[in-house]
Amino acid sequence: MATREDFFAQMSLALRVRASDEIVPGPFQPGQVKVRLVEAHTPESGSDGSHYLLSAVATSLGLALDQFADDLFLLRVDDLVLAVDCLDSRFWQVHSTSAKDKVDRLLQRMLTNTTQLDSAWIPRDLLREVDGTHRWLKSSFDGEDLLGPNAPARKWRARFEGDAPDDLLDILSQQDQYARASALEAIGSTVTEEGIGSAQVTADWRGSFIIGQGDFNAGASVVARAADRYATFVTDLEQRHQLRFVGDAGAESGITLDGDVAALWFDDPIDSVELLVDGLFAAKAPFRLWAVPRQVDTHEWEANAIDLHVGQPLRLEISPYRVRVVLTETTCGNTLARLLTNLQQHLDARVRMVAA
Amino acid sequence: MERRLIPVNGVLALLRADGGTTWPNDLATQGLQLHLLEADVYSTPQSVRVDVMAYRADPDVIVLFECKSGRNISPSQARGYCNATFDGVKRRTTVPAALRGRSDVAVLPVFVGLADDGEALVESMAREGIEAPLLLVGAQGATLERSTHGGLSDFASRGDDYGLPPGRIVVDADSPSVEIRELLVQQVGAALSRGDAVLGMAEAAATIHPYWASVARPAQAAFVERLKEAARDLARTDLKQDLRYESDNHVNPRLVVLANPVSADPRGAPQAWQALGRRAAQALGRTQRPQIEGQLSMSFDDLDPEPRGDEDAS
Repeated sequence: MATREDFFAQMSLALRVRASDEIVPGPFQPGQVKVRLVEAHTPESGSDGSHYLLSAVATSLGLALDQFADDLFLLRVDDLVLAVDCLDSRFWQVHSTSAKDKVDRLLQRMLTNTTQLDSAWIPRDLLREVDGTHRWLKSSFDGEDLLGPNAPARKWRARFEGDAPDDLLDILSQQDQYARASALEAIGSTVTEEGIGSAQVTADWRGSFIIGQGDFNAGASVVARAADRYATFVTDLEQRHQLRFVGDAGAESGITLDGDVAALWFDDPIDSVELLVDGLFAAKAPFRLWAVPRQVDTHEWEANAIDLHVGQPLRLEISPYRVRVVLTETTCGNTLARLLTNLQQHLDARVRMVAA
Repeated sequence: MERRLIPVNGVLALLRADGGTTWPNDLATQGLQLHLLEADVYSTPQSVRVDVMAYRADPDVIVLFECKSGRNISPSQARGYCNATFDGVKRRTTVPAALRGRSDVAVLPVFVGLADDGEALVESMAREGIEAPLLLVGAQGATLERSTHGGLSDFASRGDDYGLPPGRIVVDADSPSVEIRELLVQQVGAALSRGDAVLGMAEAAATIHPYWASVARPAQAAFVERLKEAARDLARTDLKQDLRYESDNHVNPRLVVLANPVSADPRGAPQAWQALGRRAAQALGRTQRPQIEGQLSMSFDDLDPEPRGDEDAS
């Protein structure tokens, strides 16, 4: 079995020779390194749990599974190779140098085939923390479904290049007319790791990264730190927002309650709660929530819903001012991250999470 | 949310120190903290099971909240709340750590009702000679009146944008069947999305009830019975093509999945779930909102069940 150092060496080589006709030894084709951050619900933590889940995925999708190094597995079909780094058994990094469209398609199949895997969903503020000097950023917003066809700035796509592109997005987000649509889709960054090298890295809100040029080790460090931040973000959400009712062992009676209801807060009230309700519970992308929502007041709805991605329950209470989210003791924080991030992309880029 | 559970959820929201954004948290800002739910307190003429117990230190106070969904108080129970003492609390349950070792801790009753029932509750309390603070909660926030103790101040936090308090507790053993069916439908959805072939009633009960592990065995059994009844009902509705109820000497009560949207082609899964949603709405006596043509009906984008990655990021 190879080592993780071998993996880094082979990825570095694949990235370095991507523009040449040079043949690269090992399983990885020459090319940019695509990395997708994936949240995995393994039956147990550690390498065995990851291997078990990967085996199930490989079997159901007809993929070959091999172990490359400790906590590092290869999934293959034809000439497509995914290297799944399970060092963190919950937040995997899936690497590939294969063609981007093929990688995307296979990852989509993996993510929709099982409720044990979900993408990362990186909200705006967290995405802006990507390391390095930001060289460009892409803003895209599609609010037509949730805002209706007459809302101003309901749909756009723009790319800003140059020094400090973040400032341009800030300017947009301060304009009443455009603030709602100032969503952040992707950031291109140049990073230099002292004593290692430089790399150009792209990161987007769906947890996709591309190490496009330069030194793989430098780019991988950026991805690893972003993955750590995301893992901390999700586990913090769970700590704060999973409701836990516990019988007090020291008492003859009584129950304690821990955890806060989360609220996704709108800076500007929305015009049609009904459109939002319809969009949230249509059981399709991007939200993939299913429920039988109930109107409880003129502009107030509630829904005991299921996140179809992971098969977990959550309760939503929706008004023109906010969506409250009540998580159970076991509902995954990634479900909340997904809701926040998709509302930023499709309803209002300024949606923020607060305690209810 | 069931009307009966609005008051207790209102109190819980008012006690959240980190809250206050979408619903007032005036009790927390006064320094009160949640201690226990469903706590027994010895008192006269009868002991009481307190819906919510909160406390603060300096001044030392324990507040006992009795949450009412109706327009009248129960005189004997109300007197039990009013006559409760610190010794009565200590006799039956734990004291908050911050108040352990203290001797002169005031115990205050607070009656909680729905804002719509405020006048009737005031009259009912006056009729029975009950003098205690009254907390009223509703879709416009909360007001506390008639407090005379320095450790608990009156407040009025009202606003049109609050809505009902967050639903931390949306069902219990006393909930009507329709509420239990609602949450059973959610569990059915969870089972279907995971690809499970069956949904056991015992497992569903443990998931649906907010504090199952703390519920006494007889009450657990009673709740499972309610759930079985709800499951039988569901399996007779429009969901009969999706579910079958089974229970006999050899099979624990369960719903068996007959058809699952997960087994549909991924491209058709959203429509399958939407159709299931319409049947579930019928089963719950509701009409599912129609999908708005041109907005939320299936588009070619939906043939790809997930959004694509950044096409030109490379």
